[in-house]
Amino acid sequence: MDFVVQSLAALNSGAAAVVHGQGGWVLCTKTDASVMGLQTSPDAASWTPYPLLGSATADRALDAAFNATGRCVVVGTQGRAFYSDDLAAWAAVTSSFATTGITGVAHGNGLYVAVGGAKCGYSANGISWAQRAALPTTSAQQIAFGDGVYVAVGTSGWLGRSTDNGVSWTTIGAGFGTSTINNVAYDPDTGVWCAVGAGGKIATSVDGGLTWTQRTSGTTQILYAVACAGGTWLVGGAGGVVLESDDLAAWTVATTALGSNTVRGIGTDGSIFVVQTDFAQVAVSASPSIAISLPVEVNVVAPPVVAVGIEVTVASASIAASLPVTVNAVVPGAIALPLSVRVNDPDIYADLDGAATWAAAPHGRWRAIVVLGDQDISDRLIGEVSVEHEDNTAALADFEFLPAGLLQPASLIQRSVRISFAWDDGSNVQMLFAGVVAWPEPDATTGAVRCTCTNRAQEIWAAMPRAAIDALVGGRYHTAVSGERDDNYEYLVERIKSVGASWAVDALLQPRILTWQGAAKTFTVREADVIDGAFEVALPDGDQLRSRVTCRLQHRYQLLRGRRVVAQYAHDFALIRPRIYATTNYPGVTALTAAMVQQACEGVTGWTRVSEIDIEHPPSGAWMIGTSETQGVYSISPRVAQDLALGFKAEYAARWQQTVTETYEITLVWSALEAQLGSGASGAPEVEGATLEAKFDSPAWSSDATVLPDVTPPALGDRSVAHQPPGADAAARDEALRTLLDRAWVGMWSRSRSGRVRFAIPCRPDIWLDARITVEARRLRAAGKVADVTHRLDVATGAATSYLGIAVGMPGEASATLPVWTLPPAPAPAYVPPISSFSFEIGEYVGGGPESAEWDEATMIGFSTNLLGPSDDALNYYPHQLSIKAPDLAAEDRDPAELTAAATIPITIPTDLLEILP
Amino acid sequence: MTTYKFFSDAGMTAELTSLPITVSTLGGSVDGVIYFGSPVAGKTLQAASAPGVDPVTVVAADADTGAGLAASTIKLALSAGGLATAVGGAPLTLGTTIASGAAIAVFWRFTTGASAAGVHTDLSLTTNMLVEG
Repeated sequence: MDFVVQSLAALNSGAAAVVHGQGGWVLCTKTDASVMGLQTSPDAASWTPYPLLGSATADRALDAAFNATGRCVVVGTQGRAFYSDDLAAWAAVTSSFATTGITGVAHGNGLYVAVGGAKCGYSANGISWAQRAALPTTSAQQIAFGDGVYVAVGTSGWLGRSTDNGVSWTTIGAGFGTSTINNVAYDPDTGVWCAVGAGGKIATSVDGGLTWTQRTSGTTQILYAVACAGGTWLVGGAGGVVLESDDLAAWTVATTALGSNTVRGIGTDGSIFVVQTDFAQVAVSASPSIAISLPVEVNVVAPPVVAVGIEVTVASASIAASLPVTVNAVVPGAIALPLSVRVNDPDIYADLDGAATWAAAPHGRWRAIVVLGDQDISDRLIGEVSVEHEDNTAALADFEFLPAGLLQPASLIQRSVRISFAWDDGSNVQMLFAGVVAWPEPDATTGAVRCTCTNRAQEIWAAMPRAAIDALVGGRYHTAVSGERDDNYEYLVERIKSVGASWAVDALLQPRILTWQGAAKTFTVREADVIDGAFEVALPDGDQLRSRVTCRLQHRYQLLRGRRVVAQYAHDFALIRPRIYATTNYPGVTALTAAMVQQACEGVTGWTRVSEIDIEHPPSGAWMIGTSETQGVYSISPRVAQDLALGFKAEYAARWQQTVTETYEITLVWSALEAQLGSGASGAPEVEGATLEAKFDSPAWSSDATVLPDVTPPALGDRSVAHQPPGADAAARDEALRTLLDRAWVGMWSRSRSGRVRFAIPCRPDIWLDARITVEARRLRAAGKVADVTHRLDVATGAATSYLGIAVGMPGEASATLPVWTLPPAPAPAYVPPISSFSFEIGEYVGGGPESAEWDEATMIGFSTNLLGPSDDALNYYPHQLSIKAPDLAAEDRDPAELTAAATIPITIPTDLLEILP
Repeated sequence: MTTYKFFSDAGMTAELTSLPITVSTLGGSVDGVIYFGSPVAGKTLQAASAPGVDPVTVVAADADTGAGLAASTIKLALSAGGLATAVGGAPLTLGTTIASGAAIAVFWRFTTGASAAGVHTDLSLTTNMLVEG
């Protein structure tokens, strides 16, 4: 190991320790023949003495320790202690050691812990000190810290180990016998401890100081100092002994440059060693020369065989026209609707005819009770009274009466109406309708007035608070799907599209939600109950049925993008330096100047420089061009060197917006329907579409780097922030998607139950839209919710009839519930910018040489120069200039991006009882 | 022990101990960028041969010149565009004094012809002899 030995005039035989920490080096010593003090140095090259005491004493500094923030504590004889935060201004503190010499100090676990004699003291800040219990030795010498453990050493072979910051100590046998252990050190890179002492003894521990192994040093000299750096251990002691070892087993002489002067201290900064001797000497090891290597592992693999299937989707032109959009694509071809035919024994029909137990009025006679305004006009009714209720429609009523006196027909408009049916004896009143007169029609011939009435269901819903609608309806609503709906009735209509239910207003003017499955009342109708035994069956319209529906949501937002790139260039000093090597003349080139670099780096447009322009200048000095001065000397003065450049580095950033549209396409497939109807039902799927868009209203953002959000990457690369404020973020997107899916599922169900079974029965005014009826007839079995009901009463005869339509759908009688949707993950962009996107183009072009190509300004971007020497017309010369070219933004980075996520979800839909019997 | 290393990120948080490259048996080119520097403040790196005068360089080294891949399969440049004119196997000058704290982007391109499937570990990216101060 090479050492450079320095003689320090002010350093004398008081030398004791060398310590390195934040801020530099500290030699513990005397600053002259008799004053306790230090030598400090930032670089181990030049040293500055600092007296710690103002007058001559026999005292001296013995050891020092740094904490993590650079506070250095120095301890010494007579219990003296000092501290400094800058290695320049030192302050004395009271150490708690009284006049006992403090021989060692170390820092770890947030404490300074010092030893001396039988004492152990500690301090959190190096200023206020307190004593621990006495050590199990009378003469501790040194202390060190590593990996949570303090190890102290002393005379008579004592080595103590403490895991509680010096509160308690365990004496460890380290194999030194009665020999004094002078010093101990820890290598944080390997976790190895090493202790040295009298007789040239060295012991090491690899288990945190629990067990120790004696090593063979090859010397019997007293060893006082030990340190480790970069895997190399150095020990030193009497007689100028300095030994080194890389494995702690074999020790060799590191240097003999110190003569016979006793080595008292060895310090290290992890790179170099500083050795201090008794006699005004400091030896500094040379920095180790290193090469940094990165293994390259090349894996050659056979390319996979990739089969690419081509799928051509021909979409209806109207699908892409606009969004939100609902496209009803007509399924081409005929659709066959298979029916289940059951052949029953004729005996079972015997119970159907006449078996019903209807609560009919006596003799089948009814009377109507109509209250117009506050007047009962029942006695003046003529003709027919009818009341009609239907799902998702306002109820209507119609009656005709003869006014009692003069009447202004227009005054009837909006007059309240209540209609009830009762048995002809006036009992068992059943209220059927409440509402207002909408259209009075006087008959000029008879004087009668016909009134058509409505229950104003839409107005009632419109007046209902939105929260109440939400509670009553359930389901989902999203503005991206339905738009903004100011009218609460329209809001109801949109919201209920995601629920398997219908809306209505009942005879008491109460808003009602009527589920398609389950019902408040159930009835069974047999053939004998039906007037004329006639049933009319309308099957679901095949053109309306859908086995597939695609929900398409477009989530559009601005991606706020930032990119940081680098402009860097460097060339060898040899490029500009003329020299003669053997017989070859290398003339050098006209050098790059710092001004050219500044101009080029400051002239960049479209990018903002985010770093200083770091220019590397050539070294100043003089170099022989050839092997002797007679061949010339090339020199650069310090002033000129500052004007030239060997290379430079600057970083730039840009920000821009990119519109991103994420399209989610989820197709719901009702396989059971396709199995029933054949492939024709799986034609062009219906598309339910919506767009969720987040506007970014900050026009200055792109041009003003101070406008937030800041997307400048901290290092080379990209950084993006998606502008997705609440309401247009991922949660809103998922909610919109689920809304679309719910509506699609409900829509498929709704279309499948568009069939109707119609029949008429003697009046049953208690049957309303909340009833579910099962039909058991000779030729028909069906079940479904009442979709519409009309009660008609002939005032003159009292005959009354109820006309019913029940909703029936695809056969199967299977239940199903709204699925819990699993959404596809957000699509990720496939484009990854190439590395060329992150660096400027800066080449190097040297003209005036035999291989110099013709100058091309368009392609020769970078530093162009010429070889020095006389010009030759046969050669190509270049302008002496520096041009740099910023990377372009690729279209994939800049243009609107379209990302698609697709999924197919199989579903089941509730089906009904519907059988035609032979 | 030097604090200068190769990293996979410009922030010098992920040290590289190996540079894995995967190519097809059909051959082809692969481009990439790695970073060289020291995250420890206050350090400098210079060439050991003539500190402050000779450049710090990186070059592809071939530990087994008789077999495996040749160093010329790797081109190095300080910019992506520079790879087009870089010479395979030629050293890349990083500067004469490399200050710590900021990484230098080293762009590389590996080019090979058709070859048998296998793993080659004879190449490395190596600096010249350096001194850290």
